[in-house]
Amino acid sequence: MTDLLSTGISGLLASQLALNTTGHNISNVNTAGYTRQQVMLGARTPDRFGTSWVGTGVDVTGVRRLYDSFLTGQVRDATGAQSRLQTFGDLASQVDNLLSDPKAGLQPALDSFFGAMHDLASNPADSTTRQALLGQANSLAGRLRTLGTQLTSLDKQADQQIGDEVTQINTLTQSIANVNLQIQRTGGNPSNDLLDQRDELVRQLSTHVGVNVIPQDGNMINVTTGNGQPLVLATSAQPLKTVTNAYDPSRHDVATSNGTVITSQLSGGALGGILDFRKNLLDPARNALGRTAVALTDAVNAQHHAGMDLDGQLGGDFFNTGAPQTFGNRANTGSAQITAAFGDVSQLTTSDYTMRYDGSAWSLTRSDGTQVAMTGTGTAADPFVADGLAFTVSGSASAGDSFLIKPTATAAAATSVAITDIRQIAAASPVAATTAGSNTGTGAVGGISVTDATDPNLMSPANITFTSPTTYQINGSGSFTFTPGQPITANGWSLELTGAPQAGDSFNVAANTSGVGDNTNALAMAGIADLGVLDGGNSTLTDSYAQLVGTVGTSTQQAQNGLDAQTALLNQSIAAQQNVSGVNLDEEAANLVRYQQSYQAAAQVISVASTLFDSVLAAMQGT
Amino acid sequence: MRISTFWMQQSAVSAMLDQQANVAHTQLEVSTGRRILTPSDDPAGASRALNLTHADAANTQYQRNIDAANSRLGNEDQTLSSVSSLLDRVRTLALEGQNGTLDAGDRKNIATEIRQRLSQLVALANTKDANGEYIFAGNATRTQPFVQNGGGVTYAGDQGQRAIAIAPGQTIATGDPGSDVFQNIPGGNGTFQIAASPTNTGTLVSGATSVSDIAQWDGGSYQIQFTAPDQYQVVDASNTVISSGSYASGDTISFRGVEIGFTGTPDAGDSYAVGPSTAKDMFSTLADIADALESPGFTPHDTASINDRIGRAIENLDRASDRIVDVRARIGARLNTTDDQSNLNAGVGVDLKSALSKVQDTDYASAVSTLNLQMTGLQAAQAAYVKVQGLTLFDYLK
Repeated sequence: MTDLLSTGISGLLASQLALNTTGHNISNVNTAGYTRQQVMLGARTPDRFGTSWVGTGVDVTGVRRLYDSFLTGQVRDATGAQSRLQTFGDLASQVDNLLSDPKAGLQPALDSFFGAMHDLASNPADSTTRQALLGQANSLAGRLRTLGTQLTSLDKQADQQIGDEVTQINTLTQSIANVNLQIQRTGGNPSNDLLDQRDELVRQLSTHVGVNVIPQDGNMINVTTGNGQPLVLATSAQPLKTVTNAYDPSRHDVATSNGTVITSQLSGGALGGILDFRKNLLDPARNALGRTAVALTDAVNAQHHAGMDLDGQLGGDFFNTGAPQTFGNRANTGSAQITAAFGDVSQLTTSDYTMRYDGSAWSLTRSDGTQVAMTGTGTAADPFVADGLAFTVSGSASAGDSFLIKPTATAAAATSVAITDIRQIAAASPVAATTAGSNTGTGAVGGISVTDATDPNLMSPANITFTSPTTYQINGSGSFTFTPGQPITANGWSLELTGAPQAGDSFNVAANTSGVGDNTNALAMAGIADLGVLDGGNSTLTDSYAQLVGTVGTSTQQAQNGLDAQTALLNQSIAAQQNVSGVNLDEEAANLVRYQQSYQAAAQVISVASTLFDSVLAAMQGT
Repeated sequence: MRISTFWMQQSAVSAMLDQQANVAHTQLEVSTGRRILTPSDDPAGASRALNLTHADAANTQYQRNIDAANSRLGNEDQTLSSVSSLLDRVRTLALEGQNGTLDAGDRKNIATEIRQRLSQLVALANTKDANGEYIFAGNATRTQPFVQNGGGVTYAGDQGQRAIAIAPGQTIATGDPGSDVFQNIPGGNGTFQIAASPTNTGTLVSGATSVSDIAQWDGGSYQIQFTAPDQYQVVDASNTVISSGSYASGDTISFRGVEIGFTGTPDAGDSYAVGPSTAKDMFSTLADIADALESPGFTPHDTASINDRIGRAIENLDRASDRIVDVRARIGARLNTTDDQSNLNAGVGVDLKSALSKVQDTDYASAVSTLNLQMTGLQAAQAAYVKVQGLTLFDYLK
């Protein structure tokens, strides 16, 4: 028999539940990861009344989440990609900002240094000019050190961040495993809010590292990295850890709990961004800056060695810089050690290298995986030579042993001025040539330059006497052919003669002892500013620094453009997901009104049922 | 279509934040005057700006170098101008000294002034620049180049020449070693020189020398021998007579393409040596005149000899003047070069600065209009946010 009272009560309860759910939705309007819920109603099984059926009210069949797993997955993927670019962009901006100020960058320091060198050439014996040059050299070295040190500290910061990310990933994977466990305890019938919580945890995890979600039986999920490395397997989290890099003890890699290094398999998320930054921007930038420092040091030192200082001594080193670093793999079993040194600096690249022994031969690979052919045999007398580096192997290697070589990573931070006394600046040529006053020909000294500053006889006196217009003797011996336009070379110098000498004419080359006003070498050092010293002689120091600025600028710009695009994509996927799952307050307000009305109506039904019952009672009392 | 209230607010706020960031960036562009705030704003431009800055710095430095070069060259020219006047004065004195009416006292007075002028010439040759460096010492700028010892002046500098870079790959010499200025000047007329034999006794005085046919002059050593007061012969180094003839005062004797004028009368056995010009220094030329003037002039031969020596010394003095003119002409050419380069550098500097400005400086007109546009957008977004967020159904549920 149909019972109006129970029908009314069913409506009342349904409305109450719907009101509760609406209230729940309104309360969670700002909850991250919340999915709006909806009460699902169904008519109760009707009662049979003769040949007809009479309705018995409403049943609440469930409270569902308005959830679309595809849209949620899209948000998760977009979050991972956006987070990677965000982190990369933030770190890249720091390098970008470091190089941004046109007055604080390397270029003004380079220009001031070479300008001071020109001033020295205009005034080689003046102590004020020498002092100014030394000052500019120190500020140039200081600028290189500052830039190098700042890049090094960015490297440390990135390394630190990797550790932080791993900690957060472990916390989140543990939480996800915990939620899985709770879900398991509900017998695979979890509350909507628990599922929301897990989705939100996975979304948070994707901001740290790119993940895949694989649904499992019983409403549980497995979470893996983009490459399939498990992070959560149902109720158990698979924690990651950081381990010291096998080569470079100042760096850390990410490893699984059993120690397998998975750094190269990680992508996406902040962790992916940091690793990308380190590999594709920071390392090349440090190496490029270091390479500029090495090229500067090499070119200026080589020329300085060919000069003579105020005390009549050959010039020593002008700048100091860092030597290439080599790191043996911790797993190496052989006793081999590798020493790397700079060779032809113009061939240097901005890459790091791995050198590997396969049991019979050594091979060299750049950090981008390109194999580089080496010449030589690796002994001190005949080192392996490739890309402007020379490698000497000592000890014996076992098959599989490998070494990491960082040629210029720390060179900039280690640059300093080797000269302390202004008298040590070698502005003059160590040798001077004179024409004998008794010469009858038109031969004149066009210039003398040092070709080999290490020649022990460089500064020994030499007399060149022409025995005929085309032949000459040196120090009274030999007979050499003179070709006009070709220099006369001996003892590490090269003498250019102009005009036509006659038989009996003589020229003297001797130590330039009193030539304090000679600026030959200063002029040559000043010329280094526009000399091709890198990339096989095609790039000047300015070019190489401009390249670095251009590369960093381009990478940062790309990251920013990519971030803009990815943020738009992320916003679209969040909008799409929110359009389905987000709470709309107006809608909830309307629901509130609707369910309030249905509640009031159901109450009215109960009131009618009660009135009906009362009339029956009254009728019975009346009889 | 339904949208979530949270996201509606969130996306409106994000949009406003983006607008704000854009406004801030443009504002920074305007306030710093730089279009490229960090290299990522325009990587190619940032890298080009560095190259342009470098080129501009180098250009400015070349201008500094040119100023230094001009100062050195000007200094040198100034000194040589004084040397030139000095040589003119000495030439005037020497000509006075040749005047036959002078007595020994007069000649001595002239000699005294010439000796003073000689000291002055040495002082000029030892001129220092503002840094206290000798300008005619080659590269030995801290060594006094010319030292008077005994009768002569020796050179202690070297043959170095300071070059200064005035443009990429172009240098200019900014000095001349003293040995090239004051020494190594060819004697005589520059081709050959003559000298009276010290044993001459006649009153012969040599006059103008010239080369009539340079093709015939072989640079050998010859002697003009007067076999009688009116006869001469010319012999070469191996004493072979190559020419002979008669002589009368005022005749010109010519052989091997050279011509030498004589006045006065030789004694038989008098001779003159003729040979190729040898290097002579300015100081000894001045000393020669003073020596000649100070020598005793009792006999007609003495007077003739004094005149002859002064005449030959004046010839050397003219070569010295020629040398100073040559050196000053070279300085003038270098100054022209630096002036041209300086004008060129100034033009290049303007071009570089304008190129640099185009690359890295804010275009205010466009930046300000962009800023206005962005600010209008931000204001509109803020106004819309306030209005839209005020719309809620709950307002009506009362």
